[in-house]
Amino acid sequence: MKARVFYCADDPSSASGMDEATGIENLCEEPGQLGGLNTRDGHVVLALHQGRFDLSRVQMALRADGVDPLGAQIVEMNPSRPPEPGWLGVQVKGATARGEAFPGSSPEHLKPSLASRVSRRAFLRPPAPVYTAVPLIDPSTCAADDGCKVCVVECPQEAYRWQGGRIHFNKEACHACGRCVTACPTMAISDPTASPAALLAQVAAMIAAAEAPIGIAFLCSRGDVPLADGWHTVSVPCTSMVPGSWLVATLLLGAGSVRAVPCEESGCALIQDHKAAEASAFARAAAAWAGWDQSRLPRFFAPISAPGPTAALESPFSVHGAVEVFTTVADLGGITDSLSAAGAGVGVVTIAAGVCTMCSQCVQVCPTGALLSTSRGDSMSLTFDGRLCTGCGQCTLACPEIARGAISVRSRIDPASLAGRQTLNEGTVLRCEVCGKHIAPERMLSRISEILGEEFAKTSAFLGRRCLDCRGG
Amino acid sequence: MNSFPRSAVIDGAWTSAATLRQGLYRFFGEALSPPTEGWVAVVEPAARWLDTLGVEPFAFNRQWQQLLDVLADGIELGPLESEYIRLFATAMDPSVSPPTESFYRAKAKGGGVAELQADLVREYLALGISMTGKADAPDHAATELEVMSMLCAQEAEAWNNGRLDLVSAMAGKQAKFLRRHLAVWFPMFKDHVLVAKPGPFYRSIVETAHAFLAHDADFARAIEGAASP
Repeated sequence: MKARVFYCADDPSSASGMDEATGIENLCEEPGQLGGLNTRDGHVVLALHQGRFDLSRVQMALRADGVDPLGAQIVEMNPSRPPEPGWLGVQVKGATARGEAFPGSSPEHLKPSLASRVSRRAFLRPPAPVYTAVPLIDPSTCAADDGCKVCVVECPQEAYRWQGGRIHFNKEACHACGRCVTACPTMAISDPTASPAALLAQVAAMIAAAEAPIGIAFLCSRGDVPLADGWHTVSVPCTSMVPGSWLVATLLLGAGSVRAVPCEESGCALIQDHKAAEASAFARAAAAWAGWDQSRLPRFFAPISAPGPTAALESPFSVHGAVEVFTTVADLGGITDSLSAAGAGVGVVTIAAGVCTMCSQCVQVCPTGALLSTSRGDSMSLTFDGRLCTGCGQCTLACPEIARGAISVRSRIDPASLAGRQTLNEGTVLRCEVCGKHIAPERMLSRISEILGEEFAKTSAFLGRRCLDCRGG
Repeated sequence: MNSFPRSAVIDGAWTSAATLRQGLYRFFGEALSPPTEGWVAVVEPAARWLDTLGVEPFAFNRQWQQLLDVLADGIELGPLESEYIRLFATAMDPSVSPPTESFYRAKAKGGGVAELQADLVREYLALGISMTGKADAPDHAATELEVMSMLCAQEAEAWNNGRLDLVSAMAGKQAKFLRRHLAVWFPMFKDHVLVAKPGPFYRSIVETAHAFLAHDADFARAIEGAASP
């Protein structure tokens, strides 16, 4: 559905570059005017003056008109810092595309909070909660029952807890940084204000709308930063949620330059700079790997670089988008070398074949199906598909032989491992002498025998001959 | 001497908010009970009156306004009765969505109806609420919503008396009850009802009640924190 654009028409420059937009005088101070504009069930983009509007009143006005405020996009205009010609038009085009790709929200996505403590005098003031969007887990796609704990590991606020195969989410602890949204290997966690598909739509629309090469700066929604000429912003809950592959993808989509603005620079209080820095460092390493000009990923608002090779990408901001991005980069440059660096979003699993007992714990916990265990007759094999691996490392946490180095995961782009499924280990499965059913992998039983030692040799031998059902009392 | 006029406190916005929530719980409880002629006659004016208490600042206002639109189109007892039976009360039909907690608890985790109902009766007694013979089952939505309505009434009284400590305590009890019960099973109930393609009235009722309950589980906790001494 097409979005409708409204802007505060208090100064004449407001309308610059905004086609098909409706100007409303004093919209910032009186957002209630939106009520009569029949915006119900549509998407809304509002261009408002920075510092002049009260977000809770804007949200209230939109709700009263039947619009989901989380889906409404607000473009902030700064009258004291007039933008270059066309800047606002590009921002509005991006916001429109993002609004149109809004996935919708659920009541559980909202977290109300009261601005201050209640005092006796506050009895007279109406309670006006301020709402923020928080993540929501879709239990039908969450892999917690297989043992996946990626969100627990990733959340800097410890808002997630794994218990008995279920993830428990503490809304109060959550600061809505969005890290879990991009880290979840099964895309079971959603935040409607940070939908990867909507962010991709915004980036693509901004690049398409600009007449000259632009720079895209992923900027924390809690922060602000003075922009240099040619730079445009894409607001995200926290720049630590932006993986390095998104930065590379933005360049592939046609941006001249790209950066994720660190918390320290934007003034965001969450301070997750190490994660944003890791993503930026990885993207720079990837640019070097691809033979691109690294100045396209500057550490500050440098002049916009010339765009490099571009490609049409299907879903580069999805959890498996990193594979699409890097195979595209490798194909464009004819690259066969691998790139190892933290923050790739792509992993390569290696197995120490002599140590791995083929117990398949890693297979059970792998949330994406990158690791698989298959058996044919009395032989079994452990296979790996690099195209599905996000490098989450859950397999290393589950492996009972990790201390002996049975399995490892490297954050690495390896064109060879992205070519298809490959066998990591092979072995045989022992059969029960009574019923003929499979007992367990031979390597696993050997390892048990090794642990039990000579003292329990008879027990070990018995375990290797009989299945669980036929062992008796 | 306290310069804070007592009448202003009584008319205060926080009291109104607690009264609004008290009314909404009762409204949704009645809506999820079998419809009667008397109820059909008052449902729209009741909703309009609740709206005057100030739904606007809250996130569930979007769904609430849609419900008001549905009510404005008019509802009739006969079709509502048929719809109620089809959606909530036809025995042995797997597509039916009973508005009872035990049905969804059993689907999710297993467990007996009697055990849950006994636990709920004990919980109600601990909250100072005893059930009469005329009440619905302890785990029926109408009963649980009525319990929440009573807790909100006590909160409104605490606001009236200027007892922030009691306000915080009551809000804490509400948040705990919601998170243990309604906030857990009502989303499953709503999804189950929507699969059966309800008409505009029951669709709007379950969607608005769901939005309200999801909101109130967090809002009650926010009040508990903000009013704590």
